[in-house]
Amino acid sequence: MRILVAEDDNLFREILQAVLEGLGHECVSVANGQEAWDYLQAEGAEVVITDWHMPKLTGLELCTRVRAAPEIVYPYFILLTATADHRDVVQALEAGVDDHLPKPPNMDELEARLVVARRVRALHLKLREDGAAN
Amino acid sequence: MGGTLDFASEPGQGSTFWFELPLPAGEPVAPAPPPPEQPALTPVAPGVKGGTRVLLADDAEMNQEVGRALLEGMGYEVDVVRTGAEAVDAVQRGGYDIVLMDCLMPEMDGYEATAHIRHLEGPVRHIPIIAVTAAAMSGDRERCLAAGMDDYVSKPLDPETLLAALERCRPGRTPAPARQPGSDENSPEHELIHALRSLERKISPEAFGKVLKQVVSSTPTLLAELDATVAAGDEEGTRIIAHKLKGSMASIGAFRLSGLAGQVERLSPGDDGLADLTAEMDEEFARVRQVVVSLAPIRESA
Repeated sequence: MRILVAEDDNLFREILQAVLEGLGHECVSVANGQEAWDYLQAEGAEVVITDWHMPKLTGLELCTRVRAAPEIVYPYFILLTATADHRDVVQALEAGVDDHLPKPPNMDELEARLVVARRVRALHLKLREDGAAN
Repeated sequence: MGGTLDFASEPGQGSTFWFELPLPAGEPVAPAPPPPEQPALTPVAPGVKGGTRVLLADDAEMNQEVGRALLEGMGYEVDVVRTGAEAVDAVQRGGYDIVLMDCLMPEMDGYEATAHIRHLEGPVRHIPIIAVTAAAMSGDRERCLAAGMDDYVSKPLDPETLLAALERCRPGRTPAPARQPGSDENSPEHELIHALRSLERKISPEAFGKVLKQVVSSTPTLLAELDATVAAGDEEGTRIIAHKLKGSMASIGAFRLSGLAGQVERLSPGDDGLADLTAEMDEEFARVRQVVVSLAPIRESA
């Protein structure tokens, strides 16, 4: 899948990109929410893995914007959260995030979540095609 | 000393021994104190709970005192912390067998602290955490268990209930391996090696080498920046850099260094402990660096 990673920590971003590429995904990584927004408008992505707190545009703001932009085909959003506070999780899901993982995530768990992402994304595409056909 | 010692003996009758000693007259002896009043608690079984260390996390001084008295009365060793964040740090430092965690605390509550601890522990380790809640509200128990806690007692603490919960969680029930800091499977070094080896299996050798190189090259810069902001009394700068280090170090599995950075991040401005903590971080990074360099596929170039 084509995955966009938005993360301001250089080291963690590099690790995430390397792991995703190791899993056979195509990965583009950016250092803040604004760059992610620019990229998504131009190229789109199947999955977005984003940090919450980033300079310029936060992960949640990014997600809210993307969900409000009908021209961007539904990217599956995985939010990385430093805390496991349920209030944060609720807020994130309300903003349109599909899934969340603690930061740093367990990479096996991330891999498993990406299987879900693939499934949900395929369903979205199918719905879109069916909608266009009718 | 002088005095006399003598005996009289008859065959078949037995012997009598006696002595006389001249001694100075003594002071009148105070009556023996009454035996100390036994606490009204379950009797302590010596040796059974000896050495079982309980970490009590509660922000209210009264609860700390009551909890400590109860636990010590039961024969446990007790350390007290005031916030969830402190509990996370204490557990990370190690040495505790059970955590008694108040759910509502400032800065970081018990649920969040538990989630942190469970996350840091990974799949293998598991310190028993008993939740202490203010009121037995329905749904509390589920919430505690969902957060990763093992058991649940409500305030005010009832000694019998507390003891029962502690007994259910006490490590002796399933023999815990003896811990030797630095050499066992739970040591920070071991954790780091394990995390890095696991990462190495997932990514290309080039990417792995690059990550290791970046750890070795960028971390000292951050640590130096941290020292500078601390020395300058720059609170915001200190917090930002500490936060960054916390995240970076956790992402490679250097959880102890990450935890120290977390402590710096949360420390109140001007706290005396700051300099000690940053010095400890420097020491810890020396160990991290050693591990990282030992795993580097290519020797770092000078």
